[in-house]
Amino acid sequence: MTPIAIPERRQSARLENWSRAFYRFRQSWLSIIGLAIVIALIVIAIVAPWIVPHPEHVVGGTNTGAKFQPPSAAAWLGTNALGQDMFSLVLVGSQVSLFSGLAVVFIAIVVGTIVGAIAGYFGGWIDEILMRITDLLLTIPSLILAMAVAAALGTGVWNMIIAISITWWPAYARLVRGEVLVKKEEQFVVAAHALGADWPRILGKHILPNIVSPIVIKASLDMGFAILTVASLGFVGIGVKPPTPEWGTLLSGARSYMPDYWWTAVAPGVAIFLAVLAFNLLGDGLRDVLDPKARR
Amino acid sequence: MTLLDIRNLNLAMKSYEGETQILHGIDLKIERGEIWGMVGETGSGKSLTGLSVSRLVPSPPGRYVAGSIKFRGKDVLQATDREMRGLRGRHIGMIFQDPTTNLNPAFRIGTQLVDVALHAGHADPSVLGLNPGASRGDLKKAARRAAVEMLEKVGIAKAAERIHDYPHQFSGGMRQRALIAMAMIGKPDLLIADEPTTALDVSVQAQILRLIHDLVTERNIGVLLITHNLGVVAQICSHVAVMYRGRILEAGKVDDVLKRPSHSYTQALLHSVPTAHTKRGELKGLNGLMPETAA
Amino acid sequence: MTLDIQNVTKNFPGPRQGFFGRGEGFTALDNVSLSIRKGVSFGLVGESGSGKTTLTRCILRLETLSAGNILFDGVDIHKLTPLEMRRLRSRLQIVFQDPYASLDPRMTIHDIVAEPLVIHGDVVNLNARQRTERVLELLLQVGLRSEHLFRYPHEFSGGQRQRIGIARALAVGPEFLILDEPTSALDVSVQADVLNLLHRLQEELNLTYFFISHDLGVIRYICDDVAVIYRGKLVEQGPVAEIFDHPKSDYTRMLLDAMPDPDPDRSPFRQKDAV
Repeated sequence: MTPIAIPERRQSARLENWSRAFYRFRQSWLSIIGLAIVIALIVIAIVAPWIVPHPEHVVGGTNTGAKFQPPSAAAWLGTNALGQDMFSLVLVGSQVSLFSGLAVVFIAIVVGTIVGAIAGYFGGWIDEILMRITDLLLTIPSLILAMAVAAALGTGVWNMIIAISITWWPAYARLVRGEVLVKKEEQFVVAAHALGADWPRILGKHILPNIVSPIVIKASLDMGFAILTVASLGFVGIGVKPPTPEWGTLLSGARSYMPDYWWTAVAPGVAIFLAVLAFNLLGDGLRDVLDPKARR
Repeated sequence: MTLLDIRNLNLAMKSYEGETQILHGIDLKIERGEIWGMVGETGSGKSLTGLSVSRLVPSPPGRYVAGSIKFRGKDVLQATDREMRGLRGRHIGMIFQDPTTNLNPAFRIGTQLVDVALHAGHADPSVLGLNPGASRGDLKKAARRAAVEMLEKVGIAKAAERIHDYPHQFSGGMRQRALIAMAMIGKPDLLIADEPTTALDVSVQAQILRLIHDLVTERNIGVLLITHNLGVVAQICSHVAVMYRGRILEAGKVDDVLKRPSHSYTQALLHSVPTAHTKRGELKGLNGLMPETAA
Repeated sequence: MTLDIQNVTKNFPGPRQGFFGRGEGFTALDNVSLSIRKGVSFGLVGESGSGKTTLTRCILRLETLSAGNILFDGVDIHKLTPLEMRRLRSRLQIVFQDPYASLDPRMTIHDIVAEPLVIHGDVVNLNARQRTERVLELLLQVGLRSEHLFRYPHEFSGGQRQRIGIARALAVGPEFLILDEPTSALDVSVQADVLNLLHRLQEELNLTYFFISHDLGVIRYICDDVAVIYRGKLVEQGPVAEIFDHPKSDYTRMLLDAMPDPDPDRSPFRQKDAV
């Protein structure tokens, strides 16, 4: 037969899908606010060390002469007991929160997806064993485990991240297992079986790409809670060591000076509130885009 | 008075691509005792026409650009939400294609039937055979009785016992009967059935069609039967409207339209159904005549 | 002889009850035997729950058998090693009922149709460029156009998707196609085109069809032989004309009677009205 010209791969199709998705996302202004705050947070976390007015305070410098200054033009969010500029601390504090949050969610997704996918796909005793381990870990409260890890291995960002991740991946394992069980019965998966595809191909090419949406939605909603958990651990004194600023630690330090020097608590408190809220709004918006059936 | 009088109905839908007109000037009149079949392919707008009568098209994205839908002389497009709730179930019954998704799996069949009956009974006790101002207890008793009677009527054996079953204990055909019972229990004047037998086996389909047919003769109601199956139309409909891309191409008595179709599309549609005498390879699709819609 | 189904029985165990007991099981296929000759199209008619789908799953070895044998060209499918079975799958393909569910929504048409060529790379042995050419050839063969190559399933209508499913099934050059209600999710007008396509392909490629449907009109149009299945048992089988014109069993007669005829004069209701 005569050769046929092979058409170009259309990049525009992908682009159009994105633009369609954004159209649906745009339908809710709350999602847009969430997205805007999240983007702002990420930008701030990246550039904070260069833009803060008092970089010396961030690395431990103090100015006891100017302690407990209320918010003013010189120090927008006031100063704390050591005379450090709260604005600088809160801005740089976003680094630890965002980084730990991302790390926790990332580890949880990787471990949870592997365990959940294997359990859901193979079923039988493999499923039983993996899911019982998962159930066991789900019963451990992450705060308590983190304290135990801190006691055993010492405090530190990584110990904290690992401790939280251990209790977080089971939720992803359950989610992924459930989704895999559903997708396994879909006709296009049966079709792949009938074509003679082996299990790595079916799982990797057909099932997992089709369950990305619920994972992304959960991850986005979880980011807020991860940030909250990191802050709680900072509050009880586990996790980041001073002088590195961290929202939970800042809040904890401000506790003794309430309500007279309220701004020392309000600044990190509002930061935590905004971050958690923003990720939740974003998650809701993503759910509307990726999983329109779950709306309302 | 004409039971249902749709005039120049124009519906537009908003989406990513902007607003597109879905229905272009639909005109349709249904009298009591008539069974109107509405045939058309996927996306022809037949379901949206049916939903419009009960004003169940979500708005936005839907918007009525022009036209009126007069049910017993009153335009439903102008009615308040309260008036609409009074019409749905009570005066306009609806049956949808998939019986599983339209029954609540958490409640017993009887509970769901009684709910609908009570809703209708509160508005008008005579539906349940009671005098105006009947007491709450009387209404409840009458609603329960009506539920059993209706289930019996749609051909469910031992209705008094089966009324305590949950939807999952019913077979597909029985669920569709239960839905018809639900649509009929308020003694509506108009029944809108959207592909009521498409998900069912042919043997069950025949029973359901007979049931709808008997209800019409017995209660002198009007029916709008939305389907893609010309066989179903030929069997029970008195009239038929052929829809294509949001327009009614041809409408009239079944005998006229199906035996002497005037529009080439209707002719093509009829020729696309294989009969006992169609030789292999000679079936005619609509290829070339009417392009497929997507991509 | 291409496919020979001999006394196949399939039981499903009942639900677990307590630690040891099991509820009553369910027999999906009860001693089913039929044989399909090379080059014919063989129809299987049945209503939902009759065991049609279980039978196809058994032929594809997606289910194990409780009893009986399924021979493909004299070889017992259920006794093959996994490698032999994979080889055999390239000769025996299936087109599914629901064109919306049987195509992976995240893959392009190119990747969907090329997938069997990749999986059976050891048999067909094509490089990436040749695969793309083969995919194009297949798309044209089933009546699609070359610009459809890199689109996604959601951009196509039901009939077009079913053509994609057919192209995928034909990719590795099978001899035997299982068609599991290939047109029941389609509009009648589109159904006609797909049926004609299947007929044309059968003649061009010398295929054997196992055509499953609940629509007697479709079976009569496309098939040479037909078997009627009811509650897991074959009720009767034989040449299409014979079964349709002189049905022996009450069940077949009932099915034929219940089939709505688009001729208004043959309506049981309307005749009654006229009297």
